[in-house]
Amino acid sequence: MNVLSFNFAFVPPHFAFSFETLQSILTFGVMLSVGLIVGQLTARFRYQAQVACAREERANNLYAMSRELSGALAVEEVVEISERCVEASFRAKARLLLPDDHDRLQPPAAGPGKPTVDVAIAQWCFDCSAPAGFGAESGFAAAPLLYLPLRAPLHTRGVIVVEPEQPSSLLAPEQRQLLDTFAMLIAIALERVHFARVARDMLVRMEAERERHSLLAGLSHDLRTPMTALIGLTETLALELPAELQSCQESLIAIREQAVRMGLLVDNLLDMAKLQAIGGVRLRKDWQSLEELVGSAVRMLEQPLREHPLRLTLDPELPLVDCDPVLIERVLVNLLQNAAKYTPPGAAIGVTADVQTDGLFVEVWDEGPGLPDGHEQDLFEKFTRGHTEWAVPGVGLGLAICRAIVEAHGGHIRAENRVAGGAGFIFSLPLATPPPLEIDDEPDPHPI
Amino acid sequence: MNAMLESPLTVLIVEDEQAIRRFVRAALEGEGYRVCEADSLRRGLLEAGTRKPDLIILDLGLPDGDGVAFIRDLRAWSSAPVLVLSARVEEYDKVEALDAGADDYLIKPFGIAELLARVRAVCRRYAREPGGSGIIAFGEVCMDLERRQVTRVGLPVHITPIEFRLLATLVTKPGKVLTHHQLLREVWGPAYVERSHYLRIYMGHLRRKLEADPARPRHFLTETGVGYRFCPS
Repeated sequence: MNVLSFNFAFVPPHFAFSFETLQSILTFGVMLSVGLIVGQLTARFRYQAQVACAREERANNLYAMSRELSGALAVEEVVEISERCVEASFRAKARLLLPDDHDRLQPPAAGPGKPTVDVAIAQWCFDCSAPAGFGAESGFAAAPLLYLPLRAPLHTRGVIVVEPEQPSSLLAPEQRQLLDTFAMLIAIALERVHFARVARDMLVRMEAERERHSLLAGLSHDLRTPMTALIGLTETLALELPAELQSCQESLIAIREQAVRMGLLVDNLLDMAKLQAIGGVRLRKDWQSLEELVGSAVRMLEQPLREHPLRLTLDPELPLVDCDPVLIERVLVNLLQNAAKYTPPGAAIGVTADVQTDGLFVEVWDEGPGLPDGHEQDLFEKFTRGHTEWAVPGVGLGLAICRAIVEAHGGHIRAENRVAGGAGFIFSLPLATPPPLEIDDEPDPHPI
Repeated sequence: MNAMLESPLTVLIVEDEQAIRRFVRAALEGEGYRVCEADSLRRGLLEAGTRKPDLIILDLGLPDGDGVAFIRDLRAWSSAPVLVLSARVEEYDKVEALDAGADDYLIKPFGIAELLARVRAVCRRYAREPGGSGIIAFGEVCMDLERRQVTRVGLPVHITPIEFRLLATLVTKPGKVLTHHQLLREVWGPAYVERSHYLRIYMGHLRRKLEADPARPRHFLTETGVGYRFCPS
């Protein structure tokens, strides 16, 4: 056009087309090519400007959403922001599906302007953590909606379902890329909210636990103090009263015994409360020698065990066990105490230990009357006793405490009647490899 | 006890419960000790400074503060033995108290016989002259600290250098509870205080070499969760 009008107006003969001279033909050619090039370039610039605009819009959308999401503190907020932003950015309807505690996606409430979601596809998308539905290569490509998993660094947090107004708009690679980025941002926001909640719950639980612990410590002190005074004062009185007042002395001995028994009962109740702490027992584990623990348990029970022959068969080569010494000693004391309590004087009591593939098995056995048949395992329930009519004092907490302790260590406890007669209580403790010894000591020429 | 009557030892009781103070005082006075009392930690420190007691009996569960801090404070200027009273929940306070410099502990509820036995043992340990002959005998065992020799029923027992160090540390403090940390620091050095499995293994060796029945030791007693105690008789 330009070339033609130039020729018409300015090249003589004026106001007529002429292509006579070589010069004018040359000019025509040059101008034609310049015009074509300029036109091409302009078109390309315009296209690039459009692309840049679109890119800017995407970046803005992304920025807007991430800013909003970063301020969100609750799951509901994240859902609302994400749906709104996706709808605005993609001219589409969007829906966020979140799983419950068992990783089942919750079907959304139907609302106006919301896509009709196929929960089965959404669940598949969530379980496989792969896109599904419209345009997705991984599955259900014929479905009208696009399902994208919300993949966060640690876990898939849900599924976003998108129904575009123009299905083709989602096929453009940059649109899909943008949608994936959105999904990731949403997932990270959900994960952040999730961990914020976990941290808050943990804080609450720790606070409760601390209060419980200080309550138990206070209770223990407050109950033991009067018990100490009671026992001590009774003994003082017994010393001060002349020995001739025999019936008074006997009463004092009885009072003292009752106070001691009450003390043990309080110990049991407090221990049970401690062992049932929220979040499990706090174990103070360390490498222990079973022989030592048995030795100190036996020493604590010198009095009750004095009428029973004691058979300790412990291999000196037993490996060290990683356990809480105070608690495992408690298990041994309770089992030995029971054996002494429920067997007639003269009946032998013993402890054996045995290393097996799945741990160290310790048995406390006796040659007493044995356990009521068929009810051996009930004994480990709280407030259960072998024979309720037995005249032996106790409330049935000892074995429940044993079980709580052993299970906290990852072991098991059971009771059985022995073939040779009498009862056997067997508990197991997991074995591990103790740390090596790194000391230079003279080698023992006569190892025992 | 006659020697005590000539110059009675002074015992300070730091305990907030009046009834306990009452029977502890009665029991100790019956044995010829002179007794003074304090019902709070602050008052206890004051009394310890002015009365210069030969023994302090301290309840760890006092309402006005931390018994362990009391011991640390006291240890800065006094070496008077401390006998700690504790309720069982405070198992680990007890270890802390011993590490801070307490000498022994009693768990509530305790009887008079137990109390007096502990008090006597602590006082005896402090009254004994340091040094001595360097020869210590217990049960069937005779030990010469200077010549580093150990015999059992007259026959020499082979003891490795580390076993000897551990044995010497224990026997020179008869009756005293030594915590895991104290023993590990003394025998192996400060870098080893957390490696209590060393102690288990070496205590096992010592018991096997020196005890008649290693599973029911009479001399090298375990204080579960706390440490060990050497009992000469």
